[in-house]
Amino acid sequence: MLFNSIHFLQFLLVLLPLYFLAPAKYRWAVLLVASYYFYMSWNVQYVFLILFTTATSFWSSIKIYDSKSTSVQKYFLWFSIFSSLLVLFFFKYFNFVVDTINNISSNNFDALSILLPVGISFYTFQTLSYTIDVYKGKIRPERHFGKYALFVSFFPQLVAGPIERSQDLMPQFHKTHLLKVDNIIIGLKFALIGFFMKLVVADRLSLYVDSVYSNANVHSGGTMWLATFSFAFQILCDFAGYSIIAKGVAKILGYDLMQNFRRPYFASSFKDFWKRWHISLSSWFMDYVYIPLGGSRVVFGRQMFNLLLTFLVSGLWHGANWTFVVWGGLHGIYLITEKFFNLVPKEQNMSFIVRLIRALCVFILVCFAWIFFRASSVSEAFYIISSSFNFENSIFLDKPTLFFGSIGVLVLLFIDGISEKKGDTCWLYNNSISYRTLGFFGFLLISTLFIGVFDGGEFIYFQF
Amino acid sequence: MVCLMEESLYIFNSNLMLRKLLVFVSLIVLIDFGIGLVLKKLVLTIDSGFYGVVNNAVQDTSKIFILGSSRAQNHYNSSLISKKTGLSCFNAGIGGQGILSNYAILKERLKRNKPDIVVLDIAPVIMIDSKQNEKLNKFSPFMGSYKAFDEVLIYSPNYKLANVIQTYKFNSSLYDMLFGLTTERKSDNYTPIEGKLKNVERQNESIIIDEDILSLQITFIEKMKRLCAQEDVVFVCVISPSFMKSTDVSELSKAYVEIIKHFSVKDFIMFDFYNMPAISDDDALFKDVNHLNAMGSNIYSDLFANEINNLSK
Repeated sequence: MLFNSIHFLQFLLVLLPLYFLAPAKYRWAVLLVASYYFYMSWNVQYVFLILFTTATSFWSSIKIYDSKSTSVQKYFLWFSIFSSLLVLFFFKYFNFVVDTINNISSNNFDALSILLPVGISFYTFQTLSYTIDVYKGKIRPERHFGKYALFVSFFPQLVAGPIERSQDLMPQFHKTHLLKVDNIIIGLKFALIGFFMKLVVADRLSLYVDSVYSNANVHSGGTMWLATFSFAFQILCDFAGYSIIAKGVAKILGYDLMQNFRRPYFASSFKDFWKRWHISLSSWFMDYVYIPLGGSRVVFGRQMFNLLLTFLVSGLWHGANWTFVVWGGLHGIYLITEKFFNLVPKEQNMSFIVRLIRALCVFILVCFAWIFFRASSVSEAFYIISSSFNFENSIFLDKPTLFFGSIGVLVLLFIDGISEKKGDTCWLYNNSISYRTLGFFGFLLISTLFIGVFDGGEFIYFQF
Repeated sequence: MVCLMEESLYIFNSNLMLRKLLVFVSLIVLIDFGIGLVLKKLVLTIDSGFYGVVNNAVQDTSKIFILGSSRAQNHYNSSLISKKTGLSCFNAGIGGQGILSNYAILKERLKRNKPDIVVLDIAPVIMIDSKQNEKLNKFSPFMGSYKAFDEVLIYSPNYKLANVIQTYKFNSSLYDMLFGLTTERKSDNYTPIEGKLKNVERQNESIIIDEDILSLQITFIEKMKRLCAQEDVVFVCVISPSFMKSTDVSELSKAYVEIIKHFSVKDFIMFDFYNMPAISDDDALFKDVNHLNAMGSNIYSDLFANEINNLSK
C-alpha cells in the first residue's frame, strides 16, 4: 500500500475515526492491527518475518534486563542480533553472496527465488538498536508485547523509516493522544510538502532519469550529467518525501517522528551532508558501528579505517549489489579526505558566496557517487562515467519532463531556502494558518494536482 | 475551544481558525473550478502541438483521414499521398496513442464531416501495451467538450478523479498548452524523422502481451468499422513496415503475430506492409525498428498511395 495511492487514503479515512473513537487504553491495539494490515497489503507471508524479529528481540531484551550475569546478558544480546541479522541476510544478501561466489569461482550455484520483504532493513535495524540499548542499560525493556510490536511495525515509518529509537517512540505509545486540530494542521502541512516532493519532483524527474539510464549506450556528455543531477533531486524528493509524509501521518495520529532529512544539498561539507541526509540511519551507524569500533578516540589511521568501514557497511545496507558498496566507499573516502586535509569549515557564519561554492562542490561530488547508486552494475557505472566526458552528441532534452521537473525543483529550493533561513519550526511546519501559509499550501495543493505524476511508482527506498 | 467526549476530541481552538479553514477550502474549490473553466475554453482554441492535432483532426475536411500512433505520424506523408491519389489527406497520428483515442477522434470528426476513406495505422506494440489506458489521461482536457472522449476515458484509471477535480483533469497539460499556444500551426501533422537505425540489439526487449488491452482495442477497431459503415465511409486497417532484417527484432514480431491472429478471423480491409522486403530489409530507411525515417516514409507513402488508388478502382 503506497502512500501515493487511493488505497492508502481509504485506509487512513477508516483508521482515523476508529483510532480516536476507540477507548484510550485500546488505541495501541487499533494501531497495531492497522500497521499489520498495512504491512500485509504487500505480502501476507512476510508478516511472519516481522513477527519473528519482534518476538526474538522482545524476549531477548527482557532476558538481558532480568539477568544478573554479564555472560548471560551477552548470550541473549548475540542471540537477538544473530537471529535478526540471519533473517536479513537470508532474504537480502543470500543471492548476492551466491552471485559473488559464482563470479569469483566460476561455479554455478543456484540462487533462491525469493522476494525482498518490504522494509526489512528498517525494522531489523530498529530492533537491533533497541536490544543493544537495553544491553547497555540506556533503556528498560518494554514488557507489553503489543506495544513493543507496535514500536516495530508502526505503519507510517515501517517500510522506509525513519529508523526510530525506542527512547523517542516507545514512550509515545504509553500516552493518550487526542485528536488535535493543531496536529492535523501540522500533519497535513508535512504530508502536502511530502506529496509535492514525491509526485511533482521525484516521479517527474524519474521519467527522464529512467529513459537516459536505461539507454546509457545511446547517451553521453551533457545528457548523462543532466540525468545524474536529476537523479540527485529524484532520490532526495523520493526518500525525503516519504519521510515527511510519514512524519505528517504520524503527527495527525498524535505521534512525533524524528526529522530524517535537513536540506542535504545545502551542506557545506561532507560531514555536514551526513548530518542532513538520512539522519536516522547515519546516526544509527554512528552509534552502533562507528563508535563501538573506536570512533574518534583511536589513532588517526584507525579512525580513517573505522570511517571507511562504517560507510562500506552503510552502502551494503542499502542494497545487495557492489554498486552500493562503491557508493558507500566513495562517501567514506570523501569524509576521510575532508578530515585529512582539515576541510570542514570551522566558522558558522560563512559568506553566502563561500557557502554556495562549498555546497556546489559537495553537490557535484555527491552526484558523482549517485552514478554508482543508480547504475545497475559497477561496470555500467564506469561506462556512464566515461561517457559523461564525451561531449560529441547533443543533449537529449525531454522538454515537458524537464519543464515540469524544473518547476518542482524551484519550489523545493524555495521551501528549503525558507526552512534553512528560518528553521525547522517556521510557518511551513508549525500550526500557523496565517493567510500567507494558507495561500502557499493552497498553491502547493493545486500545483500538485496540476503538474504531479499520479501514475508513478513505488518509493525507491522500499527496495532497501 | 470546543471539547467533545472526555479525552477524546478537541475540535477548534478558536472561531477564527474555523473561519480561516472554511475560507481556505472554499477558495480551493473555487480556484479549482475557475482553472477548469478557463482551461476548458482555452484548450479548444489551440491549433498546434498535441491539443492542436486533436482540434484540427476533429474539424478536418480531407478525403483521406489517417489515424494511428507515432508510426502513422511519421510514416504517412500526406502531401505526397494527396498528390498521388488526387484526394486531400490529413495525418492525425499521435505519438504513443492507441485505438481508443483514435476512435474518439474519428467519432467526433464524423459528427462534423465525412471523409471518403479512413485509414487506421495499427502499431503492433501499442496494441498489446499494458500502459495504453494510462496514456488516455492526456485526453482528459477534452472531457465534456468532445463527448466521444468521455466514452473512452472511462477506461483511464484516473477517470473518476479527473471527473471531480478540475485541476487534475488538466494534469500535466501545461507544457502542451503553452507549446500549442506559442507555436504556429503546421500545414500538416505528418512529422518526418531524420537519422538512421542504430543499436538494433537494444530493441530486443522481451514483449509482454496484455490480452485485455489487445481485446479492448480490437473491440474499438470494430466500433470504428461500424461507425464508418453507418456513414458509408471506407475503413482500411494498415500495418506499416517495421525493420525485419535483424534477428534481434524477433521479439517485437510477437506482437504482430498476435494481432494478425485476431484479424484473420474478422472481416476487415487490411493492408499488411509489416514485413515488406523492399522496405523492411533496408536499414537506411529506418530511424529505429518501429519507425521509418523521412526517406523511408516517402517510399512507403508512395506504395501506400498506389494501394489507395487500387482500392478506389
